Amino acid sequence: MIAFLRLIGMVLIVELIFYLLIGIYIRSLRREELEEEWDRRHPERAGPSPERAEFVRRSMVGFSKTLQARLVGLVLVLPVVAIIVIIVIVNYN
Amino acid sequence: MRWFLTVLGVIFGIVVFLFLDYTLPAKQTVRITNTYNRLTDIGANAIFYASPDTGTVQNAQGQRDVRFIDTVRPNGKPYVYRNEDTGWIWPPYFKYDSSNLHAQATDLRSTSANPEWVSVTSYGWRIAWLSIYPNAIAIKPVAGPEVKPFNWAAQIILLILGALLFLIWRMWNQFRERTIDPAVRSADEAWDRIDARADAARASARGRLRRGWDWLRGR
Repeated sequence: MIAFLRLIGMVLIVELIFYLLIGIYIRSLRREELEEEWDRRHPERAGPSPERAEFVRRSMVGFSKTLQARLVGLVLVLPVVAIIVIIVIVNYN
Repeated sequence: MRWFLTVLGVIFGIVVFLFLDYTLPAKQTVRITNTYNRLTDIGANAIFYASPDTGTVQNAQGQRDVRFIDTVRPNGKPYVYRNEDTGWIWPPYFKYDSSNLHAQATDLRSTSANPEWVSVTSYGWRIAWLSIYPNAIAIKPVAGPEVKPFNWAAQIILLILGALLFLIWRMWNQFRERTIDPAVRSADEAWDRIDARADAARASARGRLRRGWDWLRGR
């Protein structure tokens, strides 16, 4: 039982690390995309500026919410499904 | 320094290769000749056996009752598997059906006169002088000694590991491009500003000295 709890703990820790890292990574990708979008729309005001920062901040609000849901599905559920699949293949085949 | 890093890199590569070679599942077509359990001395080679808290009984002398599966390969050489539960952590096979596997292996025993070939999936190494045995995971009957089923599991795991490595590489690149490089650049600029101010200060100080000197000399 202790070993099983330890497994759950380890998997959770690894999943949370990946959750944080992938979250930061995808937000960074999105922000870069938005900055390029701004530069494309306003070629005369390209480059870092308070207006661009405001545009990126406003566009990121909704994105962060949907990203969380997708990340939970990807990072927290997928490994558990993989472990269950391994258990079934190894023990009930 | 260069050669030192090269040696370090080569050693690291070998360690990663050996680690994967030990942990990934391997398939081999063999003929089972005997199945039994034997009280086994486990000493310095303990890391090549299941961790003690996975249902194996271990007595005070450090001996464990381990199930074994004797087999013969198509080339006639013997090969011995152990059959142990892996427990819940490492390696992550989550195997707890070794009793069932043993029953199946016993059922598939055959003699050289009337051979019955099986494909055994296992992980680990057989090293005689260390007394270590690969752990059998699954046994499947096959048509003959030349039938070698493709090792899907190992390929899929390698692909997933490769994808993870690629993801980490992309994440690092993004982090460097968006966080480290701008920080370095702004630090550089700040340094340049400080430098320029120091230069200006030095120049004006020199100008004042020069003026003072000129005044002393009465010009």
